[in-house]
Amino acid sequence: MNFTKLLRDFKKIGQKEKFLILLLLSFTFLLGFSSSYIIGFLAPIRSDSNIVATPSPQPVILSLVSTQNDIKLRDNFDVAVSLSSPDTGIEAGDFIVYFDPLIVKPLKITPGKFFPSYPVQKIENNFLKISGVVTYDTKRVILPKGKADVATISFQTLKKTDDTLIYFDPDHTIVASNGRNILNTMSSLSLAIK
Amino acid sequence: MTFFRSQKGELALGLTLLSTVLILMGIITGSLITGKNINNPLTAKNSPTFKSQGTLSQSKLGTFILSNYSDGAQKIVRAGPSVIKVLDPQANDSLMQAVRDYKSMYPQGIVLMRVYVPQSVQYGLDDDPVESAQDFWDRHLGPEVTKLSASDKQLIDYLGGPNYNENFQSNKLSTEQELTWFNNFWIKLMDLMSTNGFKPNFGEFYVAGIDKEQIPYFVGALGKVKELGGIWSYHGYTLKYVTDADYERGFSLHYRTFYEYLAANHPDLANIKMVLTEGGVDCLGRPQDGWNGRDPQPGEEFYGYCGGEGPLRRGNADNFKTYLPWYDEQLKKDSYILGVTLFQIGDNSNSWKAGNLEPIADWLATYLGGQAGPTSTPGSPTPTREPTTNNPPASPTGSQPTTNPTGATLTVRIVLVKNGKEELWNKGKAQVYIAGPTERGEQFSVVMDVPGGNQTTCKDQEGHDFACSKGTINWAGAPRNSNGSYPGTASGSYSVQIVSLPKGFAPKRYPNPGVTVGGNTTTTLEIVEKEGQWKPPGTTRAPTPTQTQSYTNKDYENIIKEYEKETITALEVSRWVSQASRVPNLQIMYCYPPGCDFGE
Repeated sequence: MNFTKLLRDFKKIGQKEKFLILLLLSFTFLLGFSSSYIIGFLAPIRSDSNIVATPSPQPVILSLVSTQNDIKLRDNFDVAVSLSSPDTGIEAGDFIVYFDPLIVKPLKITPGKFFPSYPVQKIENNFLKISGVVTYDTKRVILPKGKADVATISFQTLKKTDDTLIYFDPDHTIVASNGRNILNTMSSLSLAIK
Repeated sequence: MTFFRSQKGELALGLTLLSTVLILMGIITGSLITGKNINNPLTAKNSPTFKSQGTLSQSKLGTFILSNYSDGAQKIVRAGPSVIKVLDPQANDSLMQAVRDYKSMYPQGIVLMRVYVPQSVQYGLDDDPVESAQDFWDRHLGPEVTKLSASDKQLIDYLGGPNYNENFQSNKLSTEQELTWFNNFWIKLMDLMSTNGFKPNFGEFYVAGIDKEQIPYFVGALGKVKELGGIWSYHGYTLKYVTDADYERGFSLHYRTFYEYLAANHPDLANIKMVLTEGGVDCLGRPQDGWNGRDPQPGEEFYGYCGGEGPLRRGNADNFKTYLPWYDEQLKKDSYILGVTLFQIGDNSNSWKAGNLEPIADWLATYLGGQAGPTSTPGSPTPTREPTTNNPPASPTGSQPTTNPTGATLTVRIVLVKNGKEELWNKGKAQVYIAGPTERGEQFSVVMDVPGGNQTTCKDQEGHDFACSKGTINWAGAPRNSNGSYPGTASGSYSVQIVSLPKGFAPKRYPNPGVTVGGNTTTTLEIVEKEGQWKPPGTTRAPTPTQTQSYTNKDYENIIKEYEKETITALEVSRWVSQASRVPNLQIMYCYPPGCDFGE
């Protein structure tokens, strides 16, 4: 491309054409300039939205949930033992629940659907114990994870009170995966019996 | 158009080319003006703070700068934090400029660099760990760090690798096999970092992602860290958003348990430095979990676990300004901690907006400036070092003595409750367990018989005297002073439990809730009369069954029989199933109850 010849040709053309060409060239510059803005807005320099802020894996939570709010003397009521393990498959669990034997009396334990098998279901003086476990055979193991009830405990009220607690034994309640207790938090249940 | 048709030749072609050039020039000019390049003096603003340049703050608070060297980031950098961390500075000149600014003002400051490697990059147990490390370097880390200029590379003190387990085994790291693999991967990767002129930053362990039980598997990697003059790292987030050091030992201060293990078992590794390479307030990594986000409300999932019970609450800058100095003071107790790079500043995207430090940047800069060490000349080659980094190795507890004052007394009343009336215990042998802090910040525990008679002095199981009366224990420390007085017990959180009772009795509540001791404190343990002997569950556990070499369905039946008899716990069963599942051709499946089909 001969730039001198280009300039010479440019000088030869009329004023109107020169104006048109300069307008066109200005427009192309503005087009590039404005497109950089548009590109900038549409495509950020680098999205960090995929970077994980690295909290712990979702916590394993055990809770006691009553299906009834208004509990009266000599009522029967159910308490669900609910387990949530969103990310981790669970192999076995021991659930030890304490209660005040002067206030409430457990009548029965109904196994839930978190585990396929419940080798221990027993009621003692002031606590009860439920153990759940996966089934194993040499071909496959199915590990449950997610949220479901481990069991439902049916209680009968014995005495009026403003506040009685049903709670997990924090030392011996276990939700086990890979040989470790991965239980993060447990919540108890406070009840008024009227 | 007449013009183009009439020229038919080079003029038209030349003008076309010129137009193209002008478009490109427009794009470049526009990019330079609109870019977030802080080199541009039009956009760089001077901080209104603080103190003489070159004086590194003695605070251990630093920041992790993402995406953009924002106004707030500039202020913090100018204030001289002990450590900063940057993400992908090789690809973002704004962040590289932050490093240059920081190092020009504080050559003794510490800079950590992380290269983002997406989680789609995965290695697993089937891969050789050494080859995987080589591959990780060759394909991901190496090509990125070579983009740094020679002078910029000199400014990086420590280079990170994978962010915890994000590039490994689908984010799984718990079994012996996985931990061993991870250790071997890192040993090789750290060698490669060193060969290429970087000191390694090993780990980037998530908050509560590992426990001290797993540290033995990393002894090899920690030895390599020491050999190469590197550091290791943990993410010091509070989840519940509390200023309770005991609680936070499970989370933002969980690293203390690692150092306790090392001090007891590998003292030569207990002085390796650590940086908390992320920190602040988080819980599940959700957009609302940062300090400026939203607490879970009563009744919502994760209420309590993720905070919400107060007194510190998300969405309030003053609360964060209360939390940070507390956390800073905790970190200062641990000489092996170089600092925390709070997550984050520079990224105001919705994902991380609630953690953005920008709204408190002025405060943080002032706070850092207010903790300046002895001054030194800006850019001095003999910079001021944080005195804490030269402290002796950590004590076995990983922390300095606490400030718990002694002199408190704890009175434990043991009462039999019958027909709504209380009666001090006098029904035979019962035992109580007391555990609490010592004045040196350690833990003590004692077991003592509950006095049933009218004696005034009793003995615990170690033979120490304590004052007592019928059904009452007056615990005021041990042993006695030379003048016969009791030394007093440290204030703090205590566990007081009944550990045995004669047949026919049971504790009304077990375990007893925690007792906060300070001054003269009284707690009452209530006993009720019941049939049968009470024993705390789990006290008759059998030892872990021996691991079998071959796993059969019959073995499993035997395990379940033991489980039914309660001679073993869920932990032993889980350990067995976990081991037995790691054999060829066994299919491991996950299901989501209640919709599980367990095949029965």
